Amino acid sequence: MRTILNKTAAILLLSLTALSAKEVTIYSYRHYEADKKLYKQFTAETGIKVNTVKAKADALITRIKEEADKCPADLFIAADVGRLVKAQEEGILQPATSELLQKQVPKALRDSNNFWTGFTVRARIIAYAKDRVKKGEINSYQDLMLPKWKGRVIARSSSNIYNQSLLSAYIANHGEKKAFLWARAVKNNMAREPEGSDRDQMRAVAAGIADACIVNTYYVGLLTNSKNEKDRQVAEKLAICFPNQAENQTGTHINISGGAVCKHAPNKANAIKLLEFLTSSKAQSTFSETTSEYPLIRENATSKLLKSWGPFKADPIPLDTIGKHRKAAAKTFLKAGWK
Amino acid sequence: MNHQQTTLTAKNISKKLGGKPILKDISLNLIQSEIIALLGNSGCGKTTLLRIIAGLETPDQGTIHLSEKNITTLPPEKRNIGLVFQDFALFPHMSVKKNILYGLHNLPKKQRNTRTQEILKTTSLTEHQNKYPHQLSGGQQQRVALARALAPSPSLVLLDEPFSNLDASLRENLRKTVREILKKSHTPAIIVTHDQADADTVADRIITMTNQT
Amino acid sequence: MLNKLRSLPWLLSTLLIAAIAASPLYFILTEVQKPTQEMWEFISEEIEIPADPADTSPPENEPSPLQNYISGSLIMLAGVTTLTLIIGISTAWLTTTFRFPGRTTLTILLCLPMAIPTYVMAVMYNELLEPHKFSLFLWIRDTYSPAAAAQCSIYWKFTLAILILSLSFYPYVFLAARMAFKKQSQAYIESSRILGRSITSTFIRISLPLARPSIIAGLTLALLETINEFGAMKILGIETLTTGIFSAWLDFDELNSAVRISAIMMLIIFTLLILERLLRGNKKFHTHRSAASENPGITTSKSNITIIYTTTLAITTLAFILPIYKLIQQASLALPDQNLQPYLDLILSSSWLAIRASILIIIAATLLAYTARITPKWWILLTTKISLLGYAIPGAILGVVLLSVKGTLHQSADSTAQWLFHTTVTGLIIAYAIRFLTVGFNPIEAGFKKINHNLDEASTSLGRNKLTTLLKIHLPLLRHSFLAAAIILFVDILKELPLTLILGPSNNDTLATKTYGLFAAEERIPEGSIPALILVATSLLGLLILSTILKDKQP
Repeated sequence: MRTILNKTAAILLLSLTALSAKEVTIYSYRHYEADKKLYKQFTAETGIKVNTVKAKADALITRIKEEADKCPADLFIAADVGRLVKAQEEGILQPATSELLQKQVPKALRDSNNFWTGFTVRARIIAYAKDRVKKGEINSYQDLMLPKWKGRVIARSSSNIYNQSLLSAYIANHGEKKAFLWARAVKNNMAREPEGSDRDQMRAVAAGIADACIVNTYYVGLLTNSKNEKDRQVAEKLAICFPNQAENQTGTHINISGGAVCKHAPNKANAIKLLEFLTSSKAQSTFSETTSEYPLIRENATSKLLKSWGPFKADPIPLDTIGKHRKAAAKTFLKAGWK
Repeated sequence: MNHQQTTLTAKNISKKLGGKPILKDISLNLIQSEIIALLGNSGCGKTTLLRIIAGLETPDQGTIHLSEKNITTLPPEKRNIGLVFQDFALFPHMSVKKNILYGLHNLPKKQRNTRTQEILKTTSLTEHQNKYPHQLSGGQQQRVALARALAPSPSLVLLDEPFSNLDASLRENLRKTVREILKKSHTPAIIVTHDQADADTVADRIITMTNQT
Repeated sequence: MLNKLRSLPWLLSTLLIAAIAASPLYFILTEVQKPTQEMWEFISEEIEIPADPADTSPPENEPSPLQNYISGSLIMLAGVTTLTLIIGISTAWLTTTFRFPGRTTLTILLCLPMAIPTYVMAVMYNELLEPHKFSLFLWIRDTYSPAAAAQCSIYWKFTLAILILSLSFYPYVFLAARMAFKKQSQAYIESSRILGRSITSTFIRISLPLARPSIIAGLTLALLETINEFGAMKILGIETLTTGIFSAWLDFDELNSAVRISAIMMLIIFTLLILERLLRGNKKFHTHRSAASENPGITTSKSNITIIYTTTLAITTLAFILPIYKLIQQASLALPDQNLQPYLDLILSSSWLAIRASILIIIAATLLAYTARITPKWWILLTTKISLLGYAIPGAILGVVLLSVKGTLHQSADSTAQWLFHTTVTGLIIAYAIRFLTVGFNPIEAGFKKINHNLDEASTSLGRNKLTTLLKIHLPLLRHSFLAAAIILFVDILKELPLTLILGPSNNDTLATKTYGLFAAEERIPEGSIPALILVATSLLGLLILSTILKDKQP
């Protein structure tokens, strides 16, 4: 009798430990070393180990979908809302209800049905060469269409998700036709065919290839704070502008890095805990310093650089709307010939 | 083993190779432990006939009986007929002993070594048994080929131009040696050659073959 | 008749391998017949430029993305053909016709670029040349016009890409040409010289034409690699059919569109292969008796030797030394902060994956080669050739196709199919097998050819069946061939990128995908240089071992 009881206890104990396996697996499009430090902090506080799988050729969503219930992913992290919405549409996410999340994350920066939540904010702005462009010369995305910028603008490929979200927002605000005209005009003003990353655009502008480029705010920060002397010199030569700030304009396009719980997550509770951690004030206060990203509440940014940029009007359009127009954005870019 | 009763009967063998008729309606009888030579020039089909008997080719027409058994369609590995190739075809990665052991897989394990030593003695190769083929002279290699073919006690052994790869000076001695070894092992044999002297020295009976075309 | 029945297991194995290897093609054919997906019209149709009211000229059309992919691939093919032929043939001729001190070392140096993956070379050259790229752009813009500068950017891109791929792939032509020149009978060359032709003239009129089949074969390998190339094209910003496949699958998530692009790519490849057949011709270039002894080469003047050294060292510097130098420099920037433990695991897991796939391929190749040996019927030889088609199917296509096959199998709830793909690694290994079967097959088939059929017959006459003959006679004699095959396979699989990106388990990197991820996705070049360096070192080791084995084999 006793042995049976012992055995049952042992089995129960084993299964309990198995159930509360202290780990969480992230499939992430984010690539920052700084994230590792955050995860370490998380592990230190909660005892939950964090495993990360990073995207290589942007195939994460398809992988998760195809691996289905064999996929070990608990948390899906994307550096763009478009991907989060796509993941949701592909059916690989599940809603995560958490009071803490609802409290810590402004409504506009999370999904209304709790499928995903943002934890950092970034703006897609225009960076320009200080010695060739006067402050106030560029005020909006539409300015880049003007003939005076012919051969003076560059941007990265339209296949990049950040550009697609930018155009998605444009479509949501102004419709496909106007978006097409914008894309077409900007493409015609380009000094060269799209090539390279956001940082490559900035390097090219600093070298004189063009005078203005479209980039994400945190890339400016990464160059400014880079260990590489050359990068810092590039950042020195550039100034930024938050487009469309005027009264009647839509505001600067913003986007989020966000996370979502995977449909077949083996450690759902741990995933939610991690999201709560990332959106907590402790973690939030680190982002502006480490990755030059805005925290969810932009005014709370502590870094000198972000503070020097001052506040800006962000496009108030709901993020999931942006996500819904991605396919239209892709088609529009193709039609406009923006490679 | 006593092969006094072995008979080989090939009847009406015809074979075309590459569209050309090589053998037309050939018949052959080997009676009781004799050594016969198939003598002829190149192109007369003697090697083809040999290969048909060995089972490496199938005749278009005709039958082959080995001691009453019809072996016409029997695969070569089941015929228990030994074959000595013109270029000896010794396995280069195996020693003399291993080459000989190779064909003894049907013997119970205990008997394999005994049989090997036996045949090594018959062919005067005992002192070379651990050497590799490339370390042997032409004549020695030929004896190994013969030893290997004889070791499994085949009902019949076939030799394809066994001396053509050797120096003329060796051939006289080797002809006698080969005949001796064959007789000692009481194995009937068919030797194919274009050389009259080969046929005269080694064989009991000569069958001359001419071009069929 | 009975003989045929006994060969049945061998025949069946060949048929099975051929069926598996050819299945991607079948899949492509069926998929293409299904209706097109949403983005296809945007990919395949020309871009209409809306008439500008201010502009009175008729509306023009810009090429569609698909047309850009096609022209990108064709330009790369044309450029790489030209450059690899020039580099490969000239270096092969110089190192075989003439005899000079240090020839063996130079020959080995010329093969070393095979150790550097193309995407690594692309990144390193980007780093090396960026300032110059900018300077050139600015100069052209200021001297000519912004439009010219924009155009110059495009030319630059393509020139750099063609250069990099040619430097990576010329060894295929080099080795093929070398082998052909070496085997050529002295008698032909001597006849030509005696008839009054100079060395150069002899080369052009005699050696080169005689070497043509071999050179074409080498060129074909280089071109198949070129059309398959993904990493370097992506990094250098060139749009090709392969990047288009990735784009359709990743950006638009449309498998059908990706397969359509694959179909177009396969058409080009088949044209290439047919051209190869035609150019190689049916002529059997007889080797004269005296070809048995190797052509030792002519001794030549010091000034000629200087030219030879200068040329080969220049090529080696561009193709090997420069990229390696940059790689080491970049890696040293990141090394101090790096924890190397994860890299150790990565080496082990990547190697283990490559080893498993290599073993599977060697077994399959041996089965194929042996079956063709024991039943050399025309339809077996044809089936064998079909099995080798996998090499012509680019990794990206293979990946995309197998992915959907896997998807269909998953849905079919067939338990054997499910088991077969229950780990993603199984699917990946099968994909490697399909793709690299030829690479394993060639050395093994060559090895088999060197074994006289007499040995097979001797074994048979001694009562052994075909399987025993294979195991006891052929396998020991094929040791060198197996080792050579194993090493080439190991190096090729280790470097492989597009297939692994698509089919590899999501949570397991290989050295190749890790390198690419750090270079392309994360833009962290110093950090990416570490796995890149490990990859190159491993490949180098393999190549050097291979050259030692091959040298030993010379009698």
